[in-house]
Amino acid sequence: MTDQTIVADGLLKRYGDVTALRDVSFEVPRGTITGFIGRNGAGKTTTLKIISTLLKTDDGTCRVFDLDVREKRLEIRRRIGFLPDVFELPVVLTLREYLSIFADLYGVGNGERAKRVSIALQLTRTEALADRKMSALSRGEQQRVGLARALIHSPDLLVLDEPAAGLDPHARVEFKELLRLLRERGKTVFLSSHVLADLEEICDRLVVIRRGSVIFSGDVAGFRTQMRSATRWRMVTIEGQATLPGNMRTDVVASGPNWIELEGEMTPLERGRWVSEVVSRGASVCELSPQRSTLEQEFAKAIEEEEDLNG
Amino acid sequence: MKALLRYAIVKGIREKHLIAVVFGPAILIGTVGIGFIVRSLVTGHAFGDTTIVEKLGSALIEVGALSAVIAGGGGTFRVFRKELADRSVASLVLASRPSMIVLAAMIYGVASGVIALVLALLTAGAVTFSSAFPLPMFLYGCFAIIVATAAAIAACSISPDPAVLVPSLIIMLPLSVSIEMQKMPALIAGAVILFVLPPIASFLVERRCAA
Repeated sequence: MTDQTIVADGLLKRYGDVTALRDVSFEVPRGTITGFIGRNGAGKTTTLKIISTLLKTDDGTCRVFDLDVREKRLEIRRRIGFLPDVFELPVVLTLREYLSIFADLYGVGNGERAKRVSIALQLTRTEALADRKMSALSRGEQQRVGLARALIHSPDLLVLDEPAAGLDPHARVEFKELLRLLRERGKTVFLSSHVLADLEEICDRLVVIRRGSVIFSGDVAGFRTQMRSATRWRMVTIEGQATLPGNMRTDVVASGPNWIELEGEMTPLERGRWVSEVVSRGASVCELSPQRSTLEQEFAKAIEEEEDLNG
Repeated sequence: MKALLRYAIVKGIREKHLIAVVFGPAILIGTVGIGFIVRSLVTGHAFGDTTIVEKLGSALIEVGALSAVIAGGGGTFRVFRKELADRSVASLVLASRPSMIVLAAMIYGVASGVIALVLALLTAGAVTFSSAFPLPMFLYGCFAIIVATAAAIAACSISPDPAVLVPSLIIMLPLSVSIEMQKMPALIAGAVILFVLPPIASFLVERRCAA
């Protein structure tokens, strides 16, 4: 028994002449939340389907729970909860009926079925929808229903493809809480999302994919280190213009009428000199603070760097 | 399996087509038979003619069996077309197996078709005042329903578009008539369809998940 729930090694997938995945390798440790980032068409859904045993690779190996996805499909399927990016719900059923049917399909016994349904409803905050037909659900509610279905058999691994799509801000907060709760219970979560701010908040690790190749796999701090992000410094003035420090080699990243942002490392002494310099020119400095770049910015930078490397 | 059947039955009832499948052939037979009786009473002839009533009875049985075949296959297609031909089938496949989904769809179609056939045959007997149950027709009709259901499932694993049923019907209608007439080539063709199409449908369902 390894500590890795997912081990992908050299995955290759072609659709005709198009290579969707090439030499994709990464690991997802047990009991972690791992975010899967990439642009549209980068190969995220293809990878998630391979992990979920729904799609076969052309080469490479993928092991889930230390079982080969090609050979042990049924065993793996019983232990994963998969939320696809696109799915339809039978609109004539109520949510409770729907979940009960899926619990039955997963072999949950009669005695425990109602309890499991109740837990899934609670976890996804869909109790109020339980006895309503699913014809009248909003996109966000449908996502939560999909999540409830993925959780109904208490899987060890959750594979979620764009789970936050359609969720309102409140529902996204609840969703993040749910993922944290699942992690506390020892579950492993592997999810793709375009909402990188959410991923940054909840993920232990990241896998970044670009045009079918993994360009980063590791923890979030490691991603920042790999991107070698220089600190941004933001100066805001009340009166007068914020200006560049005279004796420093820094780049202006952005500026406005009363603020300026620089990128570069500055010692406390250099920062003090900069403030003095601006004040001596008649401006009143009200703020000088480091600006942490967002995961979106890091991701965009990673993609740009890769594109530069590949011409 | 039980869960899939429960799903199909609840869906069939809520979408209101299970009733049409089960009672449709009997209503069709009953309507034709009653129409014939009324016409005979009004015109004052033919109704007492045993030969004509017998001919009517066998015609109603033929039509009833054929409509039960269409109802069974069509009903299955209606219930499972979205589940089987859509990417959403991945959720079902992960929870069950493609072969079990196809088998459940077949059981649903065959069960509803056979009930429809029984009701149609009983109705044909009632409107022609015949107490004899046409057992051979029932048995071969059941076989035709099983074959038609297999064809319908294969069709809906290809596409949810109802137009995909047209070629199936074009093949199934004459084949069903030939099966009910106990023609050996038709029986062999039916058996081949029965053994070939469900595994193909299972394969297509699994493939659909990867789409």
